[in-house]
Amino acid sequence: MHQMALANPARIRGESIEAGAFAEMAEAEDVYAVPKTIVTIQDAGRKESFEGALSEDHLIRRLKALFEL
Amino acid sequence: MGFLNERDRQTLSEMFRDLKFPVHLVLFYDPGQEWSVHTQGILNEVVGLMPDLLHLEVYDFYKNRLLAALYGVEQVPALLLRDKNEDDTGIRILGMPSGYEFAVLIEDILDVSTGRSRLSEKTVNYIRNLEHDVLLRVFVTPT
Repeated sequence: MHQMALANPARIRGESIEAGAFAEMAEAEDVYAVPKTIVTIQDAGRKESFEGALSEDHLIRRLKALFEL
Repeated sequence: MGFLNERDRQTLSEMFRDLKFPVHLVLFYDPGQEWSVHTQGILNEVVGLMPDLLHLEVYDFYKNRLLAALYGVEQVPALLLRDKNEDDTGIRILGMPSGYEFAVLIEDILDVSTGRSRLSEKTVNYIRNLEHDVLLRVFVTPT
């Protein structure tokens, strides 16, 4: 997550969020189990979420799929 | 109150021997909020282990709303990292960096300081050519 932000900080922001401290935000994003990853393409208004650990390849595949919608 | 025990301090000091370039840790916090104050305490101890290369800037969120907005910070405690050129790295840690988040913080500091990437070349190439703004959020718990 943070590695991806570092690779292109102008385009990517990587946030890790402590769910307990930000309960309202977690509730708004329907976080019932962690880790939960939410990918948002901000300038296209597209969003997808995944529960559980996410590998680098899996995340990139899902990101590509989101761009192709 | 100390947050790091002697063993933690030794382990971190050894890890920080690999640091190469300065890293700026920028914390937005609320001095009246316990989590925020603890976060500041933890970060003070971490940067104190390598003061030549690790720099902590602390901003009262409510007195620096404009600066916070420039970084997209809407809630606290929020930590962001800036690199040796003081450029925003896009890295954000929201909440107190303890447990899992603490490990993430230390890895992030090492990555930013050394310029290393643990991603595959293929992923880096894809990421660098993105033409859209992407927000990646991971919700975690300390344990």
